[in-house]
Amino acid sequence: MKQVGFEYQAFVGTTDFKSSPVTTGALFLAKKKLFNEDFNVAQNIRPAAELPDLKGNGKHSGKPDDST
Amino acid sequence: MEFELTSEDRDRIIKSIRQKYAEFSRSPEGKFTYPTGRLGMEKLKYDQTIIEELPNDLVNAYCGVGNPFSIGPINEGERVLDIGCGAGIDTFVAAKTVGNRGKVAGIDMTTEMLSYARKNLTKLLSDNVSLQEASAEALPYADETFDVVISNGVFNLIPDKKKAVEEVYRVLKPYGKMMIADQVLIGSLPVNKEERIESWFR
Repeated sequence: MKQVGFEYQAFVGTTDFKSSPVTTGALFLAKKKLFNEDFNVAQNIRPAAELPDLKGNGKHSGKPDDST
Repeated sequence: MEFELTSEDRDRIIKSIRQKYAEFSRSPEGKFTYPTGRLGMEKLKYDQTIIEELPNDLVNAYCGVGNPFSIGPINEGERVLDIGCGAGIDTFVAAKTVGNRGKVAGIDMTTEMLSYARKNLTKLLSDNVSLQEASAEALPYADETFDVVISNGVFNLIPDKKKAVEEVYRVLKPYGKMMIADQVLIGSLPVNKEERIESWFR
């Protein structure tokens, strides 16, 4: 499988919800199923519920949610 | 709870997104709840030199939610794809970064925003930049074309995110990078499908 890198910056929106499937969830899918995780220049992704309140701007780090 | 979107659902979602951004291209003020325009770019720490270089009309049309250029390096000579380029600001920044030896492609599904970008960037953009109307779910590029794919506040809007990410993977060169900034959910999704579609874009 081709190795690629994946980097992500999370912004906690000021709306209460987005009706689209959770962006972070989709990116979990990308990271786990499409990309070779050994090549990891990216920060790991945490589920949205675990993200700190980053109103405005911010990066985050953590371990992927294996349940996704 | 996940559910399948019908083609009609997708059409409604895409239509609402296009309408929103078409309105934004005509009148940017007050269309989003987060800082946009010059204030947005400054808060997100875009290079001040670049902000000053851009026409005011273009700066006013900035509506990104993050700064993809703060996530990782883009190098001179690289080929970059900007998904959901909108008014073209991130495309312009990428073009400045890769220089004449590099190439940058910007795609967006909103005709009005692309027209806005072309109108305001024509004098600034070099021959190594292309802007075209296209969908992230069907990227009009050959396999392994790009060193970097960037996107700013776009993936949350895409109906078929899995397909879009698969397309990014397809067009990335080996050891290429996907660098995106986007919004994430902090509450629960609406349970009712109709409500969820209606609120897809606010």
